[in-house]
Amino acid sequence: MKRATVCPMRPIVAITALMSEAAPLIEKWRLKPARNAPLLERFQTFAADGRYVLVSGIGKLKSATATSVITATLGLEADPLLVNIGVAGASQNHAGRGELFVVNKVRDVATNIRFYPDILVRHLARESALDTYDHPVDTPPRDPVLVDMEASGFMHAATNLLCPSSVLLLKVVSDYCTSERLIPADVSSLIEDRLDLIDTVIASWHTELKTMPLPDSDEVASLERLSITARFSQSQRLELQRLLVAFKAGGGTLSDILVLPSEHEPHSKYARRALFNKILGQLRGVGLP
Amino acid sequence: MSFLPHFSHLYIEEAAREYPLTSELIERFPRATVITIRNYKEVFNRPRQRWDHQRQSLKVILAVRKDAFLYPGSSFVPNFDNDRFFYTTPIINCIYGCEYCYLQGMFPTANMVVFVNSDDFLCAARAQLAGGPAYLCISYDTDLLALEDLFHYSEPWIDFAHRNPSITIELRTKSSNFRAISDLKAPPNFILAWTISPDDIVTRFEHRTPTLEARCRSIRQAQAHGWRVRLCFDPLLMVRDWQQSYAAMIEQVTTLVDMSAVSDISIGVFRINGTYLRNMQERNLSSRLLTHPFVVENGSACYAESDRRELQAFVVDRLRRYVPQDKICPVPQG
Repeated sequence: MKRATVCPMRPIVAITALMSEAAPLIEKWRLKPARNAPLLERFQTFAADGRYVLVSGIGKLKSATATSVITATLGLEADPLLVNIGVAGASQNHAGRGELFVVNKVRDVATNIRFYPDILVRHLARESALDTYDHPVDTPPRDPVLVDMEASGFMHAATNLLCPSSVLLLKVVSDYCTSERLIPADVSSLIEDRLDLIDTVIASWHTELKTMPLPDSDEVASLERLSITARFSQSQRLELQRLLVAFKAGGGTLSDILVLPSEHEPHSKYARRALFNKILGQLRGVGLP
Repeated sequence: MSFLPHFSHLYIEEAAREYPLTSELIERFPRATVITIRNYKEVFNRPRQRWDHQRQSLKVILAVRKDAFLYPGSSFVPNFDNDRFFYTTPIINCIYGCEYCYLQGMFPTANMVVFVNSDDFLCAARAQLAGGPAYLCISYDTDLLALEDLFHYSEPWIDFAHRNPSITIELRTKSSNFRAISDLKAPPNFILAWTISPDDIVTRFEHRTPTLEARCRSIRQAQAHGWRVRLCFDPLLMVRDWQQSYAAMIEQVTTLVDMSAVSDISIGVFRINGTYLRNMQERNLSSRLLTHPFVVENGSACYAESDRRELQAFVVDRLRRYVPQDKICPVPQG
């Protein structure tokens, strides 16, 4: 079974390159340092109530690593919404300083690999393509694109693990790719100024793109216990597991239908088959669709 | 906030940019965000796409088809005694969301691909005619008539049929959009084939499709304009109270449609490639229709033989009250 359990609430994970990008989010979401998973200690990680902020460090490899680590830590079955948030450069013709963009295409300049997040939900930001470089860019791009140093790494890792509608890239334009250097306070201030819009976009994605209600670990375990007690074959177990997923996705609750008092344990092949068919029928729903 | 409307984004292949149709379509969707891509497959074939998410806001990919303009007809569909049977896919994927549709198992995305080099498809069909008369289905992996107002892809094929009498073209549809082609002259070698289902199946499983009555009204209009019409009771589904549903459907259809003017009637019980079914089950976890204990025979998933026979015999028997037997073409199973 590909997806066995699911968190009661779908986690939201924001990955930033810099602490100055993360700070406004940490404050708004009232997050605390997270130290409960050894791998997460490699990054500055903050968490509360299903929301996480990870500071990956600068560059696409660091972003990819942080994205992979947090997704693996939460588990694929948690199906987190992964959001890459940060500042980006642009040409003056394309964007104004402080403007927020939802990124609809990411190109890794070094490899020319392109990534396309699904843009399915209404939002109030402008959209743009973005190029990811391996080095700081001090010449404004000729094309109407944003530039950064992380997005392609984030997309590479995120779309290897999750679906393209579970990723979101939000970039605030910080500079016009000149030699001017930004100080951390400026970066925080740029994010801070767009924080309400950032929060609204994330909330919309999170609300609309729901995950399926899947069996929790107790339900999977009960079905497994029953299968062992009843001595179901491996193919019967797999069939029940598959139907359990469909049953849950359809809004069912296993405890409402699954009762196997010990005195009803099947003692013959015929009784086992009858029990299997009975459970099958309960999971499928009575009668024809 | 809510989902973006369908076609909010146009993904356009670099090679498709130069085609006049691309410019027309950009004008037709003035509010769409345009994203340039190298090859349609880099968007279409992305791994781990979620059909249930994408169905809420379909995107269009404009692309250039480079080869494989025509395919040999599939064994899952009837050839109506045409030896040289082909199908073509000028558009991939459909605006409707039928729960049993094989497209969900065949393609990794719900998004639509529109091939803008439509002339190349027509050239390929013309070349095929050098080998003899051919039967060509143009609306299998999509519903061209439903999309006619947006893409105008039926029209060139209707014109092609006028100019090439040795081809017979079938356009299969569930739409009620005959109006979109009602001003065109009906070629005798062009069949409008309507898929017909009982209203409760339309409501429960053929999401976003027109009602049975709306389809019948469209059929009636097509008949009045002299078009050849085929009715396709396909797929027949084993659902609760199916006898009453199919009996009521036949009553309604025979009341609303001029049955004497129907060319033929195709009847097929639900069957699907086993691999596609598994993909569909994974992508649509909550579908009770897809959790049925299908049997797999020669790679094809279908109802048990006794159910198939019962379902098909019931519908054939009812139809025989209204149309001669020779107009009824049951689809061979398996």
